[in-house]
Amino acid sequence: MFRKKAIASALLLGLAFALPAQAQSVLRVKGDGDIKQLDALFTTSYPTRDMAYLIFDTLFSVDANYKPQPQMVDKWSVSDDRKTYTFTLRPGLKFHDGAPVTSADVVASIDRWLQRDSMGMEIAKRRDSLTAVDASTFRLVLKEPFDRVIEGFGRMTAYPLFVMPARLAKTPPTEEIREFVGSGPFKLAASEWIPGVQLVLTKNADYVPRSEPPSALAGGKIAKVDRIERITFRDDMSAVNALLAGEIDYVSSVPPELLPVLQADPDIQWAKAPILGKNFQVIINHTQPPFNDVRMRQALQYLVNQQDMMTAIFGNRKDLYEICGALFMCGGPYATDIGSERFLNPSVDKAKELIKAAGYDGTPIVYLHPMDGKIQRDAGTILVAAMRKAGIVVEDVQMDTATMFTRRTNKGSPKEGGWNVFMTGFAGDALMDPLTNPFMTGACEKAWIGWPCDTEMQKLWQDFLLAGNDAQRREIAIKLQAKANEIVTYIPIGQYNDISAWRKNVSGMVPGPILTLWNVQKTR
Amino acid sequence: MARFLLWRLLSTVPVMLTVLVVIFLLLHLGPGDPAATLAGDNATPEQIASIRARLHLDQPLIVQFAIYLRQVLSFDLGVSVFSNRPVTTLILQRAEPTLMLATTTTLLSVIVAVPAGIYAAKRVGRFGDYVVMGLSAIAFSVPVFVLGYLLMQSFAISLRWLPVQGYRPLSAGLMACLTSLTLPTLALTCLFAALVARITRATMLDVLAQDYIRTARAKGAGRFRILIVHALKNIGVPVVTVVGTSFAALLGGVVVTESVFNIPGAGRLTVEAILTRDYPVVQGVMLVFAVILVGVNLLVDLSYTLFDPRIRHGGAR
Repeated sequence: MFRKKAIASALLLGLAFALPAQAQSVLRVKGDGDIKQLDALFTTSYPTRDMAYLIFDTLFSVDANYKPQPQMVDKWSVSDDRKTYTFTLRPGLKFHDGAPVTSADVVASIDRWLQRDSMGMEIAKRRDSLTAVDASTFRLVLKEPFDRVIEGFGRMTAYPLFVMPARLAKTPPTEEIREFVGSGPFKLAASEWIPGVQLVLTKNADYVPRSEPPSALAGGKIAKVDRIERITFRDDMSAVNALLAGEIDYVSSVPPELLPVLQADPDIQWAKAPILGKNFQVIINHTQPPFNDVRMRQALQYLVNQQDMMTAIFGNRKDLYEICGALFMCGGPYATDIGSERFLNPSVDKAKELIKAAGYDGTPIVYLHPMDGKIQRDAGTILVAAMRKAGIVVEDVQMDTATMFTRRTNKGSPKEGGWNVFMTGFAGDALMDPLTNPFMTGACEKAWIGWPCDTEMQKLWQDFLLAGNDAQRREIAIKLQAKANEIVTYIPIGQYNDISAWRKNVSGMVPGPILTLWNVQKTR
Repeated sequence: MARFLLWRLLSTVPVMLTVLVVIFLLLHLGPGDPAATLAGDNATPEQIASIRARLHLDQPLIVQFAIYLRQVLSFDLGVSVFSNRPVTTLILQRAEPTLMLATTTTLLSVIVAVPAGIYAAKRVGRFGDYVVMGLSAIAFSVPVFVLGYLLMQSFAISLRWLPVQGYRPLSAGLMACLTSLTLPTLALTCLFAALVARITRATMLDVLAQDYIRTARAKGAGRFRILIVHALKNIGVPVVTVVGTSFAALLGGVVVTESVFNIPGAGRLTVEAILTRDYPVVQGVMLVFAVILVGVNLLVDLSYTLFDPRIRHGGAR
């Protein structure tokens, strides 16, 4: 009897050692594009930024109402003269290498950010001093009041202020950091990161989340899976097949034509994400004829038929897009249709009238037409056809996106390798705010590509920057949009949402303007 | 033989130099700027210029080529513009899936196609020949991605026998590795086996019409003996040539198959690098491909002596 018990005990003991204490929960994700860099101050790549949000933490983060809320900061105050900001860090913050997060690290991180980010540069212009008071307190003293400091520190796009150890933050912003040690809810498994193949994150057990419920990028960020494997796919169909077979759990962007395949599977759930959506934009070179004449640019507004373009891309899935006149995104805090009448009511005849009035002489215009992206390819084809229908002679220069990226920076005439019109795609989180929307400037040579030149726009932008409250900001944003539409800094081709899909054993997705994977859990 | 080997190795030097120059010029004279792509949408011209300077892209072309040549001569393929990793590391990371896929595909193609080709030649003009040639025509004509999706739908999604995508390295176990390669190997084998089967059949028909085969028949040798002992060895040269060049092509990366089955191989690395104008990676990969192609051709040449004793490299003929 004793012998049998001893054997059974030995077997059980052996079994206990043979089995892992508890299997790891692994979330396998197909994100957009590939991650080749993780220094979010070195590139504006959205996938890089999204992953950086998991590895690094921020002083402030925007909530679902796009309002900055404290994240690493425990409490903060501003002096009565609105020039001195004092911040105290939350206790217990630690970097992934085990070192505590100190105010010296934060000051170094802010210093790097101030040199790169446009809002940071506005703060830098007014900075008197930025110092670490003690290990957990730091102070920013301005030469003059500037009410955008908290918004800047909580910026979610180009460029967010990620906090890293001072030894890394001292890297000039023109150089990439090579070591990615943050204090966010997930750690980078550097040895498993193979660009073009996968990026692996593991749970940061030392992370102390905020107690508030999650709201967009703000609130408690809880790592509910042990490991995130972000797998790079070059083929959307393969990613969808992998989701159907249960080999991956989440696909951040499903082409609309593949949605019916997913809808037919009861184990798959899908939703529109990110919440604010996206749009592509028609960009016009203001410096070169014939579009240096505002009437020609306005004629182009009449030729952008959002309905045609969205139908070409989404077919009859009207639930996936909307015809939108807001340059700051429909659904955003500054949404308005003001000045958008021309592209909301497209008309080839009215375009022809404007083209005739501008005295267009039939000189061919150069349209940069990338063919390796569905939206630019299809919407571009429709735009080229509309321009030709209105009598514009179009040289449809077909190319890949990388070539377009280079050629669009050429300020010369089309004969010298320049261009007249192309399409690009900024996401809603950038477009929703006049300060991050790259098309809300009339800074001529210093403006974004297209180089619109308008002193009134510049003044309105400055007014918006310095506006003290939401009502004032909204009022100025409306004027900005009216002006942008009048001089035609860009023309949106319609607003749409990506489709995210996941298996039903995955839950906890936090709706937000970007992909966040904290609070996401997976049951077996 | 030694003289032949030395001569062949020396003859690769001008080939490699030509490859270096052509690839360099094609990349640098073509449109696209890695600095603009790397800097991203919001970058200022100053930021792009700073990246161009760091990458030496602001230097005259001849200076850029001299820098690259010096690197290559010191066995340094440079660093990826985008991931900041040594090109050699990136290539090595992608080498195993490509090598494994090329090996399994070549082996399976030979195992299936050589007997099929011989059978078709033996049954020439009859039903068996039509079946083999018909199937090979279909297999050669169906695009790999169509076949890939069909295999995926049948064996991975419906039956759940095999994984849809991905590659399991050898370190995860031989069975896991082979399982992950089964569907892509099948898809590629259809294409390559069709080619090898047709070459085998054509060559076998040619050999079977030779005088020595007639003599063997006259001497009363059996069909099997004629095929295996007298004919098989003599179809070796063209078949090995096709198999060798196919293997080299597979090592160069099969982009579509790698994309459909999400295999992180050399083909995907090349395409990604081309699309982003990651010059050091494209140059490095192309150079390695050229070396592989030259190496495989050399091995194929050397193998000829095994099949045909009349071929003696560098010796008296």
